[in-house]
Amino acid sequence: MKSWPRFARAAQANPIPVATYMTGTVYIGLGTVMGLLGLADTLLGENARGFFAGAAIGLSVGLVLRQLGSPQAEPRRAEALLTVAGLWMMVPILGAIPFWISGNLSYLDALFEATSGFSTTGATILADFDQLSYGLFFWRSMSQWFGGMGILLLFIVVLPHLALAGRQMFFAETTGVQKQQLTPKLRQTATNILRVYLLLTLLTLMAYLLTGVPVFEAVANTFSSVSAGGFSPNPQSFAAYSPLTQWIAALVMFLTGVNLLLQYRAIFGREYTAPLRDTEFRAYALIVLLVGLLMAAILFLRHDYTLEPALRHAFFQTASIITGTGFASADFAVWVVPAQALLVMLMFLGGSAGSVGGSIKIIRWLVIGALVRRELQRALHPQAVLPLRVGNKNVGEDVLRAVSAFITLYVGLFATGALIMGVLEEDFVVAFTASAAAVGNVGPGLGEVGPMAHYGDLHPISKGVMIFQMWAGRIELIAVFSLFTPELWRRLRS
Amino acid sequence: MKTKAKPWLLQNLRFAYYFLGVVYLALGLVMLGLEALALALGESPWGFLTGAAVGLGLGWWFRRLGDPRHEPSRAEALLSIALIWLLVPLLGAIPFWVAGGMSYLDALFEAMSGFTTTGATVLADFEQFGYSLFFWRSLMQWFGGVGILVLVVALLAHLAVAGRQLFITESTGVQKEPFTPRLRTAAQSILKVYSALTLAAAFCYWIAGVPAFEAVCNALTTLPAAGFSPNPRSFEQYSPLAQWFGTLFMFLGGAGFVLQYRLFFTLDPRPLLKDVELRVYTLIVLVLSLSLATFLMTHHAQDMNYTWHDALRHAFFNVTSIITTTGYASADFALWVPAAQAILVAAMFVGGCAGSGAGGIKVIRLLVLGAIVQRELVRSLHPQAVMTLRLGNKSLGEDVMRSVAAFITLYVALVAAGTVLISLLENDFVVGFTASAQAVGNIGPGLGEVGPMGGFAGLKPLSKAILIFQMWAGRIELIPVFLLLTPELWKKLRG
Repeated sequence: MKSWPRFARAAQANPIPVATYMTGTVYIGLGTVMGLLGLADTLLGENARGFFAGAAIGLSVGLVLRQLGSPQAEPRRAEALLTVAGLWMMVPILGAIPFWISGNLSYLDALFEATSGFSTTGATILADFDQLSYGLFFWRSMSQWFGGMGILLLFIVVLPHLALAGRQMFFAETTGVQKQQLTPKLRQTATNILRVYLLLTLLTLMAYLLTGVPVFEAVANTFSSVSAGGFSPNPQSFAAYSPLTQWIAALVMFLTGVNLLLQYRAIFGREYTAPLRDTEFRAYALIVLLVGLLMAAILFLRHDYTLEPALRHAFFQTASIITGTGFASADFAVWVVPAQALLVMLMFLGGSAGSVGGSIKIIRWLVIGALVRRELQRALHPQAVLPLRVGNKNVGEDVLRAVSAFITLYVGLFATGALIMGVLEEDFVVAFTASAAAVGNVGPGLGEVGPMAHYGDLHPISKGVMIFQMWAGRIELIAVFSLFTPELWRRLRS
Repeated sequence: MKTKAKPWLLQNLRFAYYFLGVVYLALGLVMLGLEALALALGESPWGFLTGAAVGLGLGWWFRRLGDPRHEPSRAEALLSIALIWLLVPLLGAIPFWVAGGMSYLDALFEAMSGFTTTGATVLADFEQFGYSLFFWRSLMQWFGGVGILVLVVALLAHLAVAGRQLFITESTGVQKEPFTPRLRTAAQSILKVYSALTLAAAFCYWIAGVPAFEAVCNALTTLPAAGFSPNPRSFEQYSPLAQWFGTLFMFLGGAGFVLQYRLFFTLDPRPLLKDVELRVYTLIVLVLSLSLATFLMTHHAQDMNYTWHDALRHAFFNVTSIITTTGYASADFALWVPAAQAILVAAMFVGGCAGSGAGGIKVIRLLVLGAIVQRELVRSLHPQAVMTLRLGNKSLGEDVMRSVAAFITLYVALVAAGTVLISLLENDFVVGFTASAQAVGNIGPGLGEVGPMGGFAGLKPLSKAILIFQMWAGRIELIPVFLLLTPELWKKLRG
């Protein structure tokens, strides 16, 4: 594209060319999609003004930003961090426009819905599901699908490359290279992940259609299943579908929490046993199995479910919460407290590091567990030099420090949010679970923000807090919190 | 018999047995003294008599098994700490059990809560106990405070457990050498401040109109940050002046005693003013109290008739009480709005300064954690940079940081596990969470049904057992207890 002279001069002075260029490109892409959705909505005779407004803004702002930026420059670390944080903030700001203009929502509510979408959280402020048109529901689910794709690339390609939050270790074999531009190998990795993601999307869609989910809802639910998102166009979520659909959804959600590179090796690489040899996968599967069985026992004994529904709801809900999807096959906010306590615990576990799952992630717990074990040994042998191993990999001290700092920030952000919302909402259960559900990108909480309820009645400041938590939680905190260090801005200016 | 090698359990734990024997003998003597008190007051004599007999008998036997000259290995030292904090409450529970009309589990809960300076009670009816039992309850907390200050603060620092090597090296000079004279001096000076402040507190409470017996009992439980009160309404019915005195002495109890020694006995305030931990501790108390006072004014000025003076008094009293893990209450804060309670829950996770009898995570560990996070953020920009972390004018070693990270992880995990289990048993999330958090932090009251004017009597036996475990583990800073679960410790002891 030929750049205009006036832009060229500004672009010369632009200290963040890559961030600008990337945002511009994504804006143009989203603008195009919104334009198409606007056309489809016009054909359906629905209110399409929101989409056209979004398309106009997306395309125009995107073109300007693209002109100002430059794709060639090698981004410095400070700029790379800014790009990640900026992108995940700017995209929902654009994506909120259709909800705002055609959805009868205030801009804050629209932004909440869009952030929840692109961060694949699935928390909704929607009280009345008749308020949105088909087009808007489609956009809501699609934003999660895009969000899932973005996060996979971020988790498996970008963050390991930047050595953030311990990710350099989790994908050492795939990234290999350090401090270099996107290599052919990274590009190959990215392609492989997307192939698995697309395959999973297609299979899920077929399975939903075959088990009798209406076509529109099947498509929308597919988008938000494979991305561990959790938006459903049906106000009853998955409680509205047949038991078979619920079992299939539980399986799909389980798979979304599995490292996609492992799935690639199992499906395309014909290494069928690769997942079984992976420490993180084994821990993940074991947790889902144990918690699922325990919860089934609680449901069977304390509620009047027969065996199959107890198992089904238990495994559905376990998979849904641990991966941060947030679908509900039953209103678990009315379950007995012990079952709810298990669900709250799951909110802090998360899926595998190489998946779309939110929260802290299994591998980090394994690392922190290994750290605690080693400290106990060190209490006996203070002088001993003990290597830290998870599975058959050595954990470096840098990874250990990064993981400790990450978990601290995570718990700190959760606790601060719970405290602020506790003060504003005057309800402990709401504050505690809303905060956990937002940082972990889960979606529903308990009590008045349970799966069949919504976040619409919260105080505007609470919504603002949750938007921040969803944003920061999705991109694993470091990029967002580094924005608050003067160091970053000093580096960008220089 | 002589030719046979003694089993390792006898052979390798000689120091622990000796020490335990001495403690049992001492407690037996104390109970004998209380026996005299019970007889003089005409209360049931059997409880203390049984306790004294068991204490003196077992104490004599343990002392014979043990050997004071045996230099304990690390494994033995850590096991001894865990063992003593478990076995002493087992003995201390006997008077409650025999003379107090309680089941042994309840009595053990009460005694564990006493010696760990927690202050959680299963006493539903305060008429159940005579004066002598109340006095024993307060006295055990005072002893618990002595135990923590001497044994844990000095010994854990000596053993470099849970990051403690950092907190106290400067003031006591504990390094790698064995129990030095300097360490002994430090322990003595800590105890001097502790005793002097206890006397001062008793006197001040009495001056402010608290009945003499209650003044003494409350003074005994204020300085170790413990929280048992012989009055069922805790500090609620005392005069405002007594409550302000309570606030002051709790605050001092939560600040390090070593620092205060310099102030009181050498009249040198500089180390106190320069100490980073104390500054942050003071700041946290001020900020939390002022925001709590604001909430009390905005939400309870009408229904509870709080004036600004009441609000400030209750805010400072209860924030100090929770943050130092004392657990007194000047009002039933379980009735306050959730916003006010949320502030108290946040305070539960702070804890006092490291050189005090307070439980919880402790301010300095949170400072270390903050420093780690800050460094990681800078490191995300400069991945190759080598940065030493400094706190005040001390530099932090990597070993301290790792220990602190592991400690906090264990702490949070123990709270979380207890929350899930107790919620499972009690079917109440608020009770599960706050009971678990208070037990690990050795605080005392929770919220809801286990609030300051409620009690733990109504919980299921299994929940009580979990809380007993949490109080025990939380008090001796987790590591010794969790070590018991690792095979390495047993291998070392046997080998």
